[in-house]
Amino acid sequence: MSAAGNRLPGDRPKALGLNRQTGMSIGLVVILALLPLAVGGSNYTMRLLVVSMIWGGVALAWDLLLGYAGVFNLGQVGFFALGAYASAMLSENAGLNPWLGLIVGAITGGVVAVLLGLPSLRLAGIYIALLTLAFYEVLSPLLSVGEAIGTGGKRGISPITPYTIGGYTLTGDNQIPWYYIALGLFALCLVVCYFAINSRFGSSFVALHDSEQFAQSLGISRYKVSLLIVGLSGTLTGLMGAFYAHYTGVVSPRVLGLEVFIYLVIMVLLGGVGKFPGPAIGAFIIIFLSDWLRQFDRWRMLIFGALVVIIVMVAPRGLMGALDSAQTLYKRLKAKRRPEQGDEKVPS
Amino acid sequence: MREFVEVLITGFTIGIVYFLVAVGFTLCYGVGRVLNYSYGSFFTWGAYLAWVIAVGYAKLNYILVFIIVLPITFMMGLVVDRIIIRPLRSRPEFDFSVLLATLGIAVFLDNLVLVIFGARTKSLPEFLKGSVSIGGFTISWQLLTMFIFATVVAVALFLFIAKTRTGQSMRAVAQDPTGARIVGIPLYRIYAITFGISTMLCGAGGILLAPRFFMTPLGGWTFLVKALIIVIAGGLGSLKGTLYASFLLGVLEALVGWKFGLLWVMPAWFIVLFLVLLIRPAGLFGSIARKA
Repeated sequence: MSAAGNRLPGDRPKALGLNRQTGMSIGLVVILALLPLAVGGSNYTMRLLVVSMIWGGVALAWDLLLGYAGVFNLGQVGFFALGAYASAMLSENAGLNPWLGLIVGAITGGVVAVLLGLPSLRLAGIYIALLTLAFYEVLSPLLSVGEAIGTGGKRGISPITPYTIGGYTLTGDNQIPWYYIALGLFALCLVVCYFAINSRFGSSFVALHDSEQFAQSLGISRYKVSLLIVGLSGTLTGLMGAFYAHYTGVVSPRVLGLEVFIYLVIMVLLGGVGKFPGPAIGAFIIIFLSDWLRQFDRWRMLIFGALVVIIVMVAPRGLMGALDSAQTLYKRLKAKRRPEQGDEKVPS
Repeated sequence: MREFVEVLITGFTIGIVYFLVAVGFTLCYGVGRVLNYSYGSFFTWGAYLAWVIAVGYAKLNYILVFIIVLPITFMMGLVVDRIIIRPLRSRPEFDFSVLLATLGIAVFLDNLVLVIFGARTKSLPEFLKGSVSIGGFTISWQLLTMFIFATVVAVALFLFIAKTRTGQSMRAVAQDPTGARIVGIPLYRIYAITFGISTMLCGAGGILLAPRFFMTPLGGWTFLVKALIIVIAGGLGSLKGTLYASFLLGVLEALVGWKFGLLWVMPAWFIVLFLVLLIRPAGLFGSIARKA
């Protein structure tokens, strides 16, 4: 039984044990592991699921910063793109094994995140958003002019060598291997984020978010903790970026477009900011919703923009927040009913 | 040499227009505590509305364009403030909510442009054709009118803030919202007016710069980022810093565009921002960038 309702503000659930976070995460992975049995025949649906898992991982990593650490980083897609570029450039220009590219992508994402964090985390909360947005917006022109170092300019890099497993080269026609690699990476993101949130380290950044002065009085350094969490988030994002590059076979400055960024924003918002694993669930909903909204063509992004505003205004904690309120409402109703039952028993 | 001086003049003129755009952004934050990420969309809307009036549907002259478009962008600001920003003010995590809400507004407004006007790039004709030579240098009338318009708007803004009662109230609110409220300043009205003025300034920037750049529905983002870079480089909350940074980066843009091509402008800006922050982490004239 989930105990989210009776917890004191300072309590945290035991890291290992069944609660809503672990229950939902395990449920998600199990369902995803079995899903190809149902939709394995449809390459199209499989592709949507793989993309959902990629962005689900990124959304989780981003939420570590937005929802838990309170770092308003708007450059997350930048880490993703640089992870993708690093892996793609090394495998195309230097012949690196794509599998090692995953590690390179992860390291690139983490290092860039820390480098960006070094100056910006010294600033107060909201200014971080300014600086990281500037970083994100400048990255696309930088990559466009970077042909000399092999970014492929505006067109980007394509094609990108796919992965090979024991001599078998993965292709787009058979989505199953791609799917299970994506699932592995997605599960990795879930596990890492879960333990990041529910470890001592995690409580320290939650504490910083809740009451910075008190946390600092206990000897927690905001700067160091934020830097670590930014690095961790960047590493996971770079990893997903590297996989994305080899999965789609293309990486270009277009990944830094507004559309991708806003998708990521809605995924996190819809799932619930600071509500693990909500953002991952948001990713699945948004990818499939966006695919369905394709029929509305130009209106699609308009609808998404309005959706962001509406969620912020009406349900700032997203679906998981709504689940919370439903749960407390249910508990309150149950609590009300119980004394009445007791009353009836006394006269009889 | 002559060409160099002309490039410098162009840079200064772009600089003062950037100043208008950037000062609106700082004003909005300084007074209303709103970091408006939909700022670029008002730039786009200013430019497209000007296009509607000057090219698309009526062929009116530029003075009328200003008279019609500026109030419209002002009203748009008021509406956004009333229906979206104001209800969020009571939230504990106001900063974060506003950040996300304005991002949503930006996407909404940009794509409204896309739905109404289509994805094809549009361009405004020059205000005035021809050029004038002053002391041996040729300056196009276009640049000169741009310079005059922008200067007039900037001076008007300063007079408004310094002399009028509303302007004084705005300064009071910027210094201490609670204190301002105690002496009877209607906070929400000042917030709304500030928001409107900032979007109007951005709209003015859109009209002035539209003849220089092609207009696209997503074009406003570049100018949001430019405003961000100017504001950070100059030092958040510092008008003087914003002014110097605008001119510095305006001239840099003209020089880089002239020597290397426009694609290099944004990377150059970012390098300058990076250098400025390395030497002065709070920006050129900033002191409040840490902890607010």
